[in-house]
Amino acid sequence: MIELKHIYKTYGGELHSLRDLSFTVEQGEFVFLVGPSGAGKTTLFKLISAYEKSSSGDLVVSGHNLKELRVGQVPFFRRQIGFIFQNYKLLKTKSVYENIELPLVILGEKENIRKEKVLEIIEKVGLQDHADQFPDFLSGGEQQRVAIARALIHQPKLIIADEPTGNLDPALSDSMMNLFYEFSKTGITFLVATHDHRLLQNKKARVLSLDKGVLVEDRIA
Amino acid sequence: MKWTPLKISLLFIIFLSQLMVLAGFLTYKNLNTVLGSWNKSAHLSVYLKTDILGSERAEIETKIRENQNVQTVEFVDRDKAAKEFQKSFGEYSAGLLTVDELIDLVPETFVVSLKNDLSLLQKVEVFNELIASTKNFSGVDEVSFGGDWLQKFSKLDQTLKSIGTFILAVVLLSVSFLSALMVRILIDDAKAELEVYTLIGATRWFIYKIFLREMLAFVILSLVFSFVTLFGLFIYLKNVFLVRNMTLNFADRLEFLSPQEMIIFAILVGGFIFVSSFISLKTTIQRLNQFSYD
Ligand SMILES: Nc1ncnc2c1ncn2[C@@H]1O[C@H](COP(=O)(O)OP(=O)(O)OP(=O)(O)O)[C@@H](O)[C@H]1O
Ligand SMILES: [Mg+2]
Repeated sequence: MIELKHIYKTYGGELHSLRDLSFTVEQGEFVFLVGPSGAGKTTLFKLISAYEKSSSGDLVVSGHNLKELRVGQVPFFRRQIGFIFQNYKLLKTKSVYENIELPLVILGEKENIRKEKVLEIIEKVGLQDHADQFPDFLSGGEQQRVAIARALIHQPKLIIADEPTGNLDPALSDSMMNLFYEFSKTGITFLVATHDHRLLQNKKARVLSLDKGVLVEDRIA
Repeated sequence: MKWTPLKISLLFIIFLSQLMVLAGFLTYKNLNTVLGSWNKSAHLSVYLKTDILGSERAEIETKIRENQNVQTVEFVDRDKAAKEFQKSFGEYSAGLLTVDELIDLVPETFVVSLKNDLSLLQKVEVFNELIASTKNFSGVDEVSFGGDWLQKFSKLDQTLKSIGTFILAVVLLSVSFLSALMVRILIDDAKAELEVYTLIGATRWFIYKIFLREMLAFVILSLVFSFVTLFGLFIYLKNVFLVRNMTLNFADRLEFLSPQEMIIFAILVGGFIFVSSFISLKTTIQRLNQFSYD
């Protein structure tokens, strides 16, 4: 699913944000990415989601060699990925329902199919009573669940979550992780960056530790 | 589309700027037609004495025709002049004077009109030349062309043509700049939204479509508002002029924009706003594609 070979990333200066990174993630794996602030977690995600190019090395995601990806192909490549962020990134001018529906609209799905899928996932994340509300009137945990539903609705192969629990209390974090695990069973690959070591204790999963751009540990915990 | 305060103020500003340009153009157009009709109707009258000899009259006519700028020289004999006088003042003079009585009072005249490619200012010059060359004939009683006001308006005509064009160009430029700026602000405001779209795999054209549709709504709404407001203002002012006797003639000639003019304006403004939003969108999306992650 994801294959890195000797990936380097520098932003101009001497400092390497990522240094000689090599590892492989298989389809359906659940991977935590940990490391202190500035370790390069977000940078790695930027490379994987084709927001930036690596300085050197090979990166293959879902069969695409990102070095050869043309700008016009980037939107189509990204449709295979679902993104989840600490700050949710929802559209304030659209309702919960419309936010969740958006990836399907972009894919050009028919109205009735969209409706079916939205209703299904909105129930899974427990937001059926908030469908017509706007994001600004939701709690942090509810907004995060909208973001998760939006990331999952078009059945991407890969979910990238950068500090998804950053704004959630422990109980909400746990319920969010349970949602992740449930979807992970359907064969979706998960890549979750976090500072919250408590999350690692819930389930057996692979943990990659980064420090100053170097992979320092790769273990199952 | 959701109407945020920013969008409403943007709409208002675009509406006001369009109204300004349109009002400027309408004023310019009407002053031009009014002045143009004055220009066309400007003529010189050479009044002849009653005891003039036929030979001298012919001499005067030849003298007038010598001037290259003269278009027509019409001789109005007493009979015709009296009838015309009766016709225009018939209601007032009814019963007071008969045509026969009038004939003795009304002088014979040459009515001289000039070629129409001359500006009002040039016409005034030619009229003055003609006055100089005819007033010394002993058979000429008086030569006049309503000199004072014509001279004033000829200057206005000239000034209007140059300053009017200049001001119109300046207004047009600043309005274009203003709307480009507002479009830029609107798109900057939507940056978070744009970012989400690029994130979940929307193609550039998908994003263009959303925003250009919004801009289209802006253009149409603001155009409709400004045309309607302008029309209201126009009707109001025309009525104000119509009730005053002095400006009645002037008010009668006032015209609103023709459908063609409105269409051309709509295409120009709409096209401009579209192009500038397209360019802002394009650069914003490009920027976002590089640094949109944090
Ligand atoms: N656009 C950029 N220009 C220059 N340097 C950058 C840029 N983005 C990241 N860096 C640098 O790369 C290094 C890694 O940053 P990154 O954001 O990947 O860390 P992180 O592991 O996500 O940290 P955190 O846990 O705080 O989010 C940092 O030293 C940072 O200063
Ligand atoms: Mg980070």
